[in-house]
Amino acid sequence: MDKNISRRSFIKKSSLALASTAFMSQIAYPDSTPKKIRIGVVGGGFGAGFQWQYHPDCIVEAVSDLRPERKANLMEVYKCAKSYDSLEELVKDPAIDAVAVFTEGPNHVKHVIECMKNGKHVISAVPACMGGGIDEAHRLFDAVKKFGLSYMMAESSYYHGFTISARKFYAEKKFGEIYYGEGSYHHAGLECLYFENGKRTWRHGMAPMHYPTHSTAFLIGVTGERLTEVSCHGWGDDDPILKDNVYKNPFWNETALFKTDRGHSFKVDVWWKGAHRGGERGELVGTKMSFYGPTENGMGPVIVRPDVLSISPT
Amino acid sequence: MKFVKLNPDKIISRRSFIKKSSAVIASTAFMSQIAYPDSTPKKIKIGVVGGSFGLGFQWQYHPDCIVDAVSDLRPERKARLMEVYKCAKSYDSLEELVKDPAIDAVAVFTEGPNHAKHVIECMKNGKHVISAVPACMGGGVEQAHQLLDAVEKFGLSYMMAESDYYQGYTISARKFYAEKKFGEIFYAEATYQHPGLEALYFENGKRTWRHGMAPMHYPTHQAAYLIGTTGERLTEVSCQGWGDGDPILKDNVYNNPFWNETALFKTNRGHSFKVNIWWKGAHKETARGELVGTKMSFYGPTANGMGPVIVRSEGNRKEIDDGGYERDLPAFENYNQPNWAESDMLPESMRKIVGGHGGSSTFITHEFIDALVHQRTPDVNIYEAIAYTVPGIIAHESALQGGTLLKIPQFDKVKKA
Repeated sequence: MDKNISRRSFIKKSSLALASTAFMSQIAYPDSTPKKIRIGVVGGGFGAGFQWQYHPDCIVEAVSDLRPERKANLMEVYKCAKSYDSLEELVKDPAIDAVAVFTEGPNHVKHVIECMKNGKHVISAVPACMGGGIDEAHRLFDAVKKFGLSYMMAESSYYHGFTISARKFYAEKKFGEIYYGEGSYHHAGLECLYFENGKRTWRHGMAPMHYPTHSTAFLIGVTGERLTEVSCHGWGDDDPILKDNVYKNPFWNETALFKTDRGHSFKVDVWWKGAHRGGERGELVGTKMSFYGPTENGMGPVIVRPDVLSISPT
Repeated sequence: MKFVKLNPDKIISRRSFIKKSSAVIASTAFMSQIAYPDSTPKKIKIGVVGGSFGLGFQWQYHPDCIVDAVSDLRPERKARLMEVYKCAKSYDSLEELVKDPAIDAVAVFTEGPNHAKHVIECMKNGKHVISAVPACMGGGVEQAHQLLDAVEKFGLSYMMAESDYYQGYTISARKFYAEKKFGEIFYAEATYQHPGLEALYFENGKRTWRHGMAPMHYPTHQAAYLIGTTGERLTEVSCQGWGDGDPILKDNVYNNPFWNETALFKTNRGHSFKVNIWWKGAHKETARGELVGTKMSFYGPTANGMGPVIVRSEGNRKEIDDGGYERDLPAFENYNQPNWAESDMLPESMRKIVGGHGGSSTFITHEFIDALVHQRTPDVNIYEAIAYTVPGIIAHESALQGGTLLKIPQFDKVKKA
């Protein structure tokens, strides 16, 4: 089959899907599927944590990591005999339909574009882009539009039980108007990932708000609204990591108040230091119903509905 | 010693009062947290004005206080004040009551927009004052200046009756803070949710002073959680408002279009303080605080049923999250909230009374009287009161401007660090 035609028809279908329903994946999974997707998995750190080998419509065709021991681990986890020494080599394999890019944050865009140049659909680890500012987001966006291939960001908070439930409540119009949301990502002690064998990793000193997707998913992933303005505070101490890092970032914790295109407020914490337990948490406050995600301090999810919303003057 | 009155031969004692006040400010911000001393020099004769919220205090049970007179514009409310405080003397207005030379101090529990006017009227007549919150309302920052100028000019004691300063949570937080348990509190939040507040917007079909008031013009309950614990000041704010086009929001004397306001404040110590004041939505009424530190965090009870929680960093204790990443594992503790109102923070005669507004009213009663008797500055004095109140005025302005970041004017004589 001519690849160009299938790509064009894919674009057409994608556009249609965008126009008709924002969250198509929420419909039940259809039983019959046209073909199996042959995936190449790159990145044996976080990339070893998915279940491609168990999906009925997926075959792990090849794996890759720059480090031999991680590559071997990918081969073992995904029961895959074919491997490459680099992403650049893997994407040349014509048998591969799609690539799972689980490489270092600052390389996501470069790697996604490299895959697409070679005609591969891509799923990428979060964040979509990092370290290259807004320019990098434009480059990614332009590439995805130009090549017309499927792009997906592997955002975990989008699939938290809380967010999936919230999307269902939202579709059923249970909330009324959600005028306020919160998304928190607390990960005290993240700096243990800043060094490996004494050398700095790509995470060393990264700015908290450059890793926002676990938090933003709790609102954008439910209502689809867009964040249009922000006021943000950073907090740091005298730690040497904050004085010398490639990101020139002086903060351990950042706290932001976003405004949305619908005039709503969204408070986001991304914190890597302090007396708090790690976790991702969302909270959606509406006029008819509110939905509070489980707190890291031990309370499960809570729904609040006022029995009587308005009280008439006497 | 006879206390401060506005006549020339008392000026010395007034100066000494001011001097002591300054010394107290310099030495310790929260003096009332020391245990209550048994012996006291004199009784304070108080006049209580405002027979609604003003009924909820315990002046008649304080060993150093005598309710000398009461007043309310409405006869039925005045009668109620006389009954509650077992007081035979009454006046038809605050303006008449403040002329009574027997009265040392006045409790002003009148309408919000009249607080500053009434406080100044009392002080002109030589009375110390305790006022309901907010310290000023509806007259912008200018009104705060007028209030501060009057308090400084007359040299009389001023206290704002902020209930959340005396919640069990805030009292405990001050004790933890004094013991340096928190490390650095880099983030705090405070929430005041009161859905259905509009029930108080009308009385017998007529609009009350609350009708349509801007949420952030009532900020003191929230400010108390951070400022009342650490004493820091709010210096910048970006605030967002939400409304739904309700007729109340389209036509009110405050020109306020918002039911709910949400603000992110920055403090003079570089910390963040998130404040919600919400009068509409699917949430339970609550006043709640949360203080997050580097060594310890203290989470106030939530309206949704979780009690207070303490979280402490535990050195190098780690856990693995479900994504396979290592992270710190702090220690958790459900905090068993002591009932401070039964402790020696209050005179014995007041410990059995269950005060209203989260148990705060007995503390407010005691603090005002005790500060007068011992010639010290009350905790929520004029500088604190303005630091609690003015940031809300600026926050509402920010919300009206769509969330613009605005600087908050500072009123402290000595720059706060």
